[in-house]
Amino acid sequence: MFRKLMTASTPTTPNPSADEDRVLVAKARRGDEDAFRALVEKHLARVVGVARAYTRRRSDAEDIAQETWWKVWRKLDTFREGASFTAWLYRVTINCASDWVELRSNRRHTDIEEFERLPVADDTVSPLTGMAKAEFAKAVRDAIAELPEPFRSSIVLREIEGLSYEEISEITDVPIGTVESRIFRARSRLKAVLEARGLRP
Amino acid sequence: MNCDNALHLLGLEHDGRLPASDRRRLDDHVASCTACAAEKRWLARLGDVAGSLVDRETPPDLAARIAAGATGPGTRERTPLRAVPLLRTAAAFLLVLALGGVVGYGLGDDGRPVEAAPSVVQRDEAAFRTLLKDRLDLASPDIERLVEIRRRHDALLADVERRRAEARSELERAEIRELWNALPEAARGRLAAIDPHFVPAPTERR
Ligand SMILES: [Zn+2]
Repeated sequence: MFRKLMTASTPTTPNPSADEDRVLVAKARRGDEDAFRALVEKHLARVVGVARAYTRRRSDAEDIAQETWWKVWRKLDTFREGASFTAWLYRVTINCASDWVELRSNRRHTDIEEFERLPVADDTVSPLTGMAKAEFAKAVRDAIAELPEPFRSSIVLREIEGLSYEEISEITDVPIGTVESRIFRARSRLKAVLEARGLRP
Repeated sequence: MNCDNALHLLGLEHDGRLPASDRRRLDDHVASCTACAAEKRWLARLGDVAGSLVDRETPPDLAARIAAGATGPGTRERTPLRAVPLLRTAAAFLLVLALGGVVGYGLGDDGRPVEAAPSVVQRDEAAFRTLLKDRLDLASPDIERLVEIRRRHDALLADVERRRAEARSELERAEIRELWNALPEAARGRLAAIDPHFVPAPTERR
């Protein structure tokens, strides 16, 4: 559903959702808290989607989401009128999420989630075809979370958020060709990580 | 077409960006190359799970909490979402006030009691009112009750501290007197002449 929602919103086509954002943003900039809440309600799933790709814990993702919206509220006046709110929001979210992860990367916790990330012992590795979809999805998700920037954000926006290269280019502020090469390289690394863990894609 | 070209084009294909003119050449290569065929399967598998990579489920009230947290007063210094449920905030305020009176009190370098610098909270009754109103959604009379409780609480703590300081100085004086009395009589006389500060003050009470 999300994928469709986003791919439908190319800059050239009329976009009621973006128009609605513009109205809400304009109101929120004037201090209208109801308009701001409407923005949060409308776009929270995007923010949470990105945040959860950066961290495994649901509660951490909620903290990142809170941080993101806190920044959005305070930075609304720096948002360029007429620009895509969604693109801007993604940018803020990615910055918050990667800062958040960066800040905590030195703190290694040994907990259940940590154990779950350890490579599976050889005898339990499913053969090429036998790996369950859920298991594969989890392995991919973990591998994505461990990618370095800017590969991580590129692949998150593409695979998880289902955004177009054009949208990713706007969000990450690099040319389409760079987006393409980042995504390509991100997928290669992803594959290499999975293979290194004995999870042959 | 070599494998490098094919891998690049497979990525484009996966993202729906393969130029029509390359379709035929790519398919031909993949049909005859096991490595690129495997790559194509991997991408298909990735696409298959893409939708289930994250779940966006959140508690139903998260959006409202986040919005309120971002726009609310006193949120210049952000508090973690989970650590401070709103209702606990007022209790925390009162606790801070209570502790502020006791813990913030101590002896200065010269041994004399010093007042701890009043916190922003203590100084700013208006902020306290705003907080009660916005965070706890209280009606005016209740807010005034709490402000009055806070005032009296402050006064009470100040009173307790004054008495505590008196008791402490009384104890100090008693101990000093004991030390002083242990000195030889002649020495006490000479010292009193040199510096009268050595001589313990007589008991003030009674
Ligand atoms: Zn090949």
